[in-house]
Amino acid sequence: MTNKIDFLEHELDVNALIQGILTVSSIDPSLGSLSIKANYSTLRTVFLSNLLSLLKPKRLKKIYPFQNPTDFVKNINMVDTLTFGTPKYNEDIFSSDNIALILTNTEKMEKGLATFLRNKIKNNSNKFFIALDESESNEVPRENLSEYLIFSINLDGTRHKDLKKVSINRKKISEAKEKLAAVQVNKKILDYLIASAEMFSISNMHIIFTTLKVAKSLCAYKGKKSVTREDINLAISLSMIHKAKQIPEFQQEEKVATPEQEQSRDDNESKANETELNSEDKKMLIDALKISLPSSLIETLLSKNSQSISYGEAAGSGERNNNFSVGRPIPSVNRKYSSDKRIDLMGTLTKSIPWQKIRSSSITKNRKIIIYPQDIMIKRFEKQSERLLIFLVDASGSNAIGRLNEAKGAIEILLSDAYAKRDNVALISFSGLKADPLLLPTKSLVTAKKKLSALPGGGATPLANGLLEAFKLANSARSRSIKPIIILLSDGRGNMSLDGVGDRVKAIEDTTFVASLIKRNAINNIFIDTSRRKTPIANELARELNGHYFQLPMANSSSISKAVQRSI
Amino acid sequence: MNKYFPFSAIVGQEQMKLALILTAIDPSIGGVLVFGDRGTGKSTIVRSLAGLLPKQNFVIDCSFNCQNSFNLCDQCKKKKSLEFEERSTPVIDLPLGSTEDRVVGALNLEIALTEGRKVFEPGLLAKANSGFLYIDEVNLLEDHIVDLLLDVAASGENLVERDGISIRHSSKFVLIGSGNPEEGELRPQLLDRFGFSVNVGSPSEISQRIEVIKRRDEFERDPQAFLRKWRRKDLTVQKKIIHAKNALDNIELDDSILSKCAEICIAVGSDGLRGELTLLRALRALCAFNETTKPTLEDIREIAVYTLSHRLRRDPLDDTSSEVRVKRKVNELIDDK
Repeated sequence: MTNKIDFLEHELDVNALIQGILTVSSIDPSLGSLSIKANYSTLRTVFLSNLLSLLKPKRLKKIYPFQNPTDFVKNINMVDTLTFGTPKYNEDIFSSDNIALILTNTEKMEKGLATFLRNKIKNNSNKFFIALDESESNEVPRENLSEYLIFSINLDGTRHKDLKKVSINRKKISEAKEKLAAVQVNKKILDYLIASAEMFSISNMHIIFTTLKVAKSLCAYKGKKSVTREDINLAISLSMIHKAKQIPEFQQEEKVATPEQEQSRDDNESKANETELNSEDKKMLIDALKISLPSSLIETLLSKNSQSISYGEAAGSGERNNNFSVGRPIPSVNRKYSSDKRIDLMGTLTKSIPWQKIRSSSITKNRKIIIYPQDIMIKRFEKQSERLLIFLVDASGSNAIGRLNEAKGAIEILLSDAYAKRDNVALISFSGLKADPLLLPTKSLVTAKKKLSALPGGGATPLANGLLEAFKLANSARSRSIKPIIILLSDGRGNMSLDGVGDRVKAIEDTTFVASLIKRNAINNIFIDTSRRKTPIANELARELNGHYFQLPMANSSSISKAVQRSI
Repeated sequence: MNKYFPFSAIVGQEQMKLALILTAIDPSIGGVLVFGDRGTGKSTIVRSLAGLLPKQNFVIDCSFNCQNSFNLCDQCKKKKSLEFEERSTPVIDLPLGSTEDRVVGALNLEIALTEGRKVFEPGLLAKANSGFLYIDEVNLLEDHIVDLLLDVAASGENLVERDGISIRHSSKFVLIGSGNPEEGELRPQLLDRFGFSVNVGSPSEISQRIEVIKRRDEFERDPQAFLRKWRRKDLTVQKKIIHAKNALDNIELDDSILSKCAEICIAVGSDGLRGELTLLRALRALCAFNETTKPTLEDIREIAVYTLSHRLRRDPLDDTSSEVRVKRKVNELIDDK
């Protein structure tokens, strides 16, 4: 091979990264979990098959986002049991070693499954988890799960020609395995690790500990006895930095500090000398990271940092109205059985009884009841689908003077309504050049209120952008079977086009375009007009949106909340 | 020997540890709710309970954890003689996404299909009887499972009427819930069932953090040796729990303490009387654990916040921490005299 990659020397691009990850997780098998962020593409397929050919798992198993955790533990297999007349079981896949588990569409995964898998990943041994994350940039991955996936690779912007054949040094790995137990960590190194974690605002002790384990494996791989700072630095780039809540060097201006950050800052101040790295160390760490990390990664981290969005629970997850697993029971139906469904036993028996005589002649007599797979009745459950209220708030100069506070008041009323109905809420504001997703879907209304009251006003009115952002969010909610409702609070006078140019005519065109997009997709919306008197522009927009329309002075709390109820 | 991290080796998190110990002493306190970020050791502490809790006597071969002869399940009632064995107190997980069948129990399909007999397959509520039931991410639990739990927790009994089965068995358990408050809130009815509510965070001191990582590392390197090293400390706590259980009846609660508790509950405006009851039970358990005979005002100060902070009637949009409010009120009232 001509250009051989060695992750210890090479910049951590995709190839070196995957080599490093596989090396480390082969040395310490408890470290086998990786999140791959990419949309479905041939590139991802090629990448995945390369990865698997290096990993050489004995078995491969896919886990889909709507499966039930009970499918993965030892459980009676209904179809086989009925066919053979003796109990047959699903196997417990987590009891087999050397298996690679591919978790598909983790961004849509059911909460229950995510928690179940998280616990398996936390106590991992000898299994390799590959989580495929197809979330859009405005969606939040399941933090619940992603915080516990040790490694992460982002394939955005990677091209086919960038992928190179990598190999791992199996001889060195097996040598390292033997040395791993003897690797020492001294207190200074621990100090350094913890201070670094502090710098990235990582407080999850589990992340810190796995990073230490990565460093130990690296140390064993190099054949050394004691973990060094270089090992820690490399371990941080491999397993910690993508979970960072803040990147220290780039913190020029934080828009809205999240309460946790404020809290930790307060804590920091009191113990400043104790916890913080001295500036020299800090610089060294940053430099080390800069050398090892490709610039694109830093950019993505940077953009994540500047958004400063709250990581709430991404609303709901694949709730279907009628389903076969959870909710209020409704009459069962005759369907094909699969492991995510549950059998209505009484119904099945009732259905098979008329056939017993006919069947008994053809099959052995020692069976008491003869049930064929086509008799099986499946239990059904009904679940109220969740709703997502997307508040789209105009924080521009034209709206801000006087009216913004009234708008905020109206939203608060709707929020307390949302609490009673246990709705999800999201908050998007627009002003200046772009729309800002202030709060991604969450049920935590306190956070929503905090974000809202901290919202400043001023600047131009990129109404089209705001609507587009809300539309995207509504669509992604829909793909999870959550009913979205857009609530727009604005005077309707957009003066920024979609591409960020201050052109009033183009702005109106764009706004009309996005509004028609919303209408065509039949997304429920409420337009609360905040202008002082009815304007033709607002009228036009209301017609284009085809939703409910109110003028704020006329709209009192009860009429708004009634409108929200009606539009369900 | 279990392979869970030992209770005594956990650094910090004293509030949560104390809350768990007190509920172990007096299960009628009604459970612990733990809110905190990911990676603060919530589940580690709960898992470690298994090694800490004292052993109890259970009927051999009883899947409902029957303990004594006056509250037996239907199967045990039919037995001619009861044999007991010592087993550790069960700590049962209730995973999110559990089906109703798994929680309350259902017809045993294997036996039904192969032998044609109707046999009840006990669910998690049976397994958790006389023990602890742990729900991780309790704030994300499905509403219909919450309803089931509320019902059983209130009556101490699980009544199953399904698939042609009718069965009733006792199900008394200490509910432990943990979650991340950012991800959603808990229904007030369920909130009220918890005796204590504590908030946990990552240790803020660097020395503590280092100790956490160090001990974890030591544990993973050689679990057996680590467990042996901490076994004695765990046993000391266990002995204290057993001792305190026996001492519970000897604790005096005089009228001045009672009226102080009532005063505090009125002042903070907690709903119903469960606040007072829990506070009194917690005080009694705390005294028993500290080997004193009478609660003091300082005891109230230590414990009132955890028993009351989640019981306030509050505005869902009000973000001032109720913990702070309760603390202020309690301090005011206690320093009054």
